Amino acid sequence: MIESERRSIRIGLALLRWFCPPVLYESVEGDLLEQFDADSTLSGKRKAGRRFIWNVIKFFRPGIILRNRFSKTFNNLDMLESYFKTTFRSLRKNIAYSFINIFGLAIGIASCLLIYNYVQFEKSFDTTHPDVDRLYRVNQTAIWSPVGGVMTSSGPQLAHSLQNDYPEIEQVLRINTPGDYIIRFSDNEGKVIAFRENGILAADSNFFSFFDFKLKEGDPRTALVGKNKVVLSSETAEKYFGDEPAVGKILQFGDARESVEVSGVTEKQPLNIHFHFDYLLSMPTNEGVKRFEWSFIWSQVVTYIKVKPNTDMAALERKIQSIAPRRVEPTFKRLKMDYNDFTKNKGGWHFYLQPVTDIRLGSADIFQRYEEVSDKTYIYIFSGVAGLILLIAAINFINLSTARAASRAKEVGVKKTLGANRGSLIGQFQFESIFLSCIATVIAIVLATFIKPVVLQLTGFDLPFSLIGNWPLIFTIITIPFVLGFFAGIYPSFYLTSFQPIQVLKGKLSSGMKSSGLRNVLVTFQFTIAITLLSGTLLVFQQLNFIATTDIGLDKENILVINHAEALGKQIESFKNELVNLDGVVSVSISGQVPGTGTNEDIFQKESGEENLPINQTKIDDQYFRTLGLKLVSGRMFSQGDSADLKSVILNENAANLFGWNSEEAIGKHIFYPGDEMGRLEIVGIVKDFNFRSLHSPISPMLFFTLNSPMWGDSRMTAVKYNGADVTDLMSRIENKWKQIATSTPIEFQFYDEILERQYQDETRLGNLFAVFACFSIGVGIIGIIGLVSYSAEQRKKEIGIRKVFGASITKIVVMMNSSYIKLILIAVLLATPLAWWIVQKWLDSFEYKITISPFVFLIAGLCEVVLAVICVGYLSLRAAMLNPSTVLKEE
Amino acid sequence: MSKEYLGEFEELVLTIVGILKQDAYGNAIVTEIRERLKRDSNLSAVHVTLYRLEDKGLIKSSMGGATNARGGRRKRLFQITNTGMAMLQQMKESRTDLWKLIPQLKFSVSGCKILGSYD
Repeated sequence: MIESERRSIRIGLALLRWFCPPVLYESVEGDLLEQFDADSTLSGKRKAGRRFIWNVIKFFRPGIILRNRFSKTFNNLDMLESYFKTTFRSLRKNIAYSFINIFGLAIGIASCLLIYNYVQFEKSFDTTHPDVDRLYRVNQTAIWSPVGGVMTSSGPQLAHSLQNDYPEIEQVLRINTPGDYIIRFSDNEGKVIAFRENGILAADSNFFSFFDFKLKEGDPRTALVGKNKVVLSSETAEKYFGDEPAVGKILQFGDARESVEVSGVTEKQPLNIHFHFDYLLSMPTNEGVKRFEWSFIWSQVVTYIKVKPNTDMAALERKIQSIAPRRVEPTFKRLKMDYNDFTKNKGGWHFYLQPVTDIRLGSADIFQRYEEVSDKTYIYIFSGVAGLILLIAAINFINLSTARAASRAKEVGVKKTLGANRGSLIGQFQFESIFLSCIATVIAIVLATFIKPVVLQLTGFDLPFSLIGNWPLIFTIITIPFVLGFFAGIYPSFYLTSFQPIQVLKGKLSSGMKSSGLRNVLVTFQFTIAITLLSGTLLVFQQLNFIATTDIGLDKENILVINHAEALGKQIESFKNELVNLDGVVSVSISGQVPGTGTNEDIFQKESGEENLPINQTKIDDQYFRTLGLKLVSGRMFSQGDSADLKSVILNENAANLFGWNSEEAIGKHIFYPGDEMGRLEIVGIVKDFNFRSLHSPISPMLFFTLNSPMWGDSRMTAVKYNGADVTDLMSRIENKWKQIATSTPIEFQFYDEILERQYQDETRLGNLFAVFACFSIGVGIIGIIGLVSYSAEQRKKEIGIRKVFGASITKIVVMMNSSYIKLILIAVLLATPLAWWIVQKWLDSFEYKITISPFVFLIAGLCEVVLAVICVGYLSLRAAMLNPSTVLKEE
Repeated sequence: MSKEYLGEFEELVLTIVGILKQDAYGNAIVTEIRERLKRDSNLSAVHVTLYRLEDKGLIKSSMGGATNARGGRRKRLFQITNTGMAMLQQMKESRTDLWKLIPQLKFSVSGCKILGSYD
């Protein structure tokens, strides 16, 4: 049939037209039609029609369809080779420039990698637990803070209420912090090893179904079932038992030497869980929990819940608020306390559900029961800083590329004349910049590995910088050069390829001056960042120095503190007397705490008893003020061993003011302690105010009891003031005395000034980090300036020669060369000042005692930059100025 | 040695283009191969091979005059280039050189001898 064969041809040709490149179409069509004719004479039209379509389909192959694109890619591959060649040539032609460019980028990328790695680590916290999306921590109102807030601690009873009353909750887990223990192990030969351990937790038996701690010995389901069971960390197991299996061994806990059986050993615990332990006791092992099961006030546990899938968390959180009136209030009756009065200043008693994944970064304002958490602010600050440094590096790249326009312009001109289109030229420059970024990234990885230990040492942030298995990081490393190279290359490549070949080849283009406006803006921007970081760093350190040198009203030098002196029991007095007689010891004091190690807050009242006043209190002996250098303003010290002073107190000025007395009036007055039988207390002395807490907070009321007063608080610390002689020797002599009394408890020394410094660990860390990154940003900025000046020196050789011929002095020329960017630095100072001022002021506001920001700091920071720049660039400009004009001018 | 390597079919097509001189196009080559080698080849395969040879610079193409036989479509006519000719030449020579190294005649002669001596 004529009709069907026509249709075959029509369909076939339409198909062919669809996939066949137009260049080939006509001849292919012709060949096909010719074959059709041949076929139809050979085997009939109908068959030929089918064969035609089949033949068309056979043309559907890459060799035909992609032919246009193929030939293009072939060309590009060739071009890529030529790009490589030109890139290498231009790199080699100006090695200093290439070095500056690549190295600057590498520093930027390295700091980015480190910070990315840090952020990644912080974000990975608590993501590995089974069903982690259903795990929540139950926080509650900070009932022990006079003004409320949120804390992670809760009473043991909370868990029961949650478990019994709310069907949405699948499981409840409590983790308790039993505090320090001395733990002993006696091996087969009867040798005893003992350590004071503080990494101790106790948990309910379902612990291992909540958190991702894997056991290398023991069964996670039964390890915490029953009394006197403990799971050890692998490090602890090794400390006590070496290579031997730990399960089944018996450890003795505490002074009561309670025998506890090791029932499991964890694998090395992942760093990225919000708590860790050396010892994990089964909950019943801690008698305290059992005694206070009914209590909401004995807030010694952290409560976690696992909810059932698809639970409406907002609704659940609303529902659990009823625990306070239903369950908590009745327990107050048992304590004979007034619930409403207790919660009045705290805004009621509330419960909050916090996702476990949120704990690490979302708990900055929550009072922690155990380990420190991080802060989102850090993440933001560091990400910002990383971005800025990378930006500075990218700006260098842009600046140097456009500055070198003049020499690349000829290349562009020649290429354009020879028929290169703009697209392929842009391609070439993009290729160059991506290629440079690739090299920079490789160097950055090496750099980062070297910088990492330095950062670790300065800041204490342990970055797990490892590429193995860290796919997101590997992915980032691979993407960085392409993204960075592309964006940094956009402007230069468009700028460089915009030249008219005729102008360029005539030599009309003057050394890239056209783009100097933009370049100046970018340089100013770079220095604004650098100066902001630098002045920020200076101010942070100024504040840290202020903290170190501020007279906080007590001595901190030459004082040794011995922790846990309560281990000496009743012999503590004789220990003290022995120490006093040691050579080099000035005085010895025993007290509940020393300032800086925390205080016990309690409620006191005026004698008339109308108002509850929260006041910090601790117990001290008669040597306390002398040892720590505190001064009595009026009244007297407790007399030693005088039982008459059992109900006497010494107040600080602030506390006296709180009661409405000045320091003279207060002596002989009475205050009232409503807690127990202590009752009425007589004020015998007033001590001058001193900062017993960090300088973040103002001085608050404080009062002292004598050591043997019946007031609560059994911990003891010994402070030894020595006269600066050989401390190590003194420490070993003290240790000998200690060993005579406390045979199996190890002694723990601390230097008092170190205790106080530790209060500012975070700030010091921040300062150090800022310093590191300020150095980076300055370094990269200066590198950029060196590149620019060396380049302009090269370009302005002739200009300088002519100026010299006309009598310009070397000094004048050096000044001319330097003044251009010094102006920019000065503008940057002006821009950076308000920025840094604002940021630092925000930070300083967290301190009660702080420096006032002086504008000089910004001048100094700016001056530093100028001096650094002049030193680095001075030689270059001097060399340019020293050139003999005749050598320069004769080359034409 | 040349940089490019030619496959068996490529070499065949190249040779045919050389044979057909002014009249080498897709169908003609297919027919030529069928007639001379009794071998069926695919039109599209021939096309692709031609383009590949063109990319390698061994043949060049131009659009030829239209004829009624092909529905008025022009032919893409291929012509062997000097490089292509040199390539063929070189391949032929190296084949011949290698061919000479095969001990075919000598083998039979010496084989007889050996057989004879042991007979």
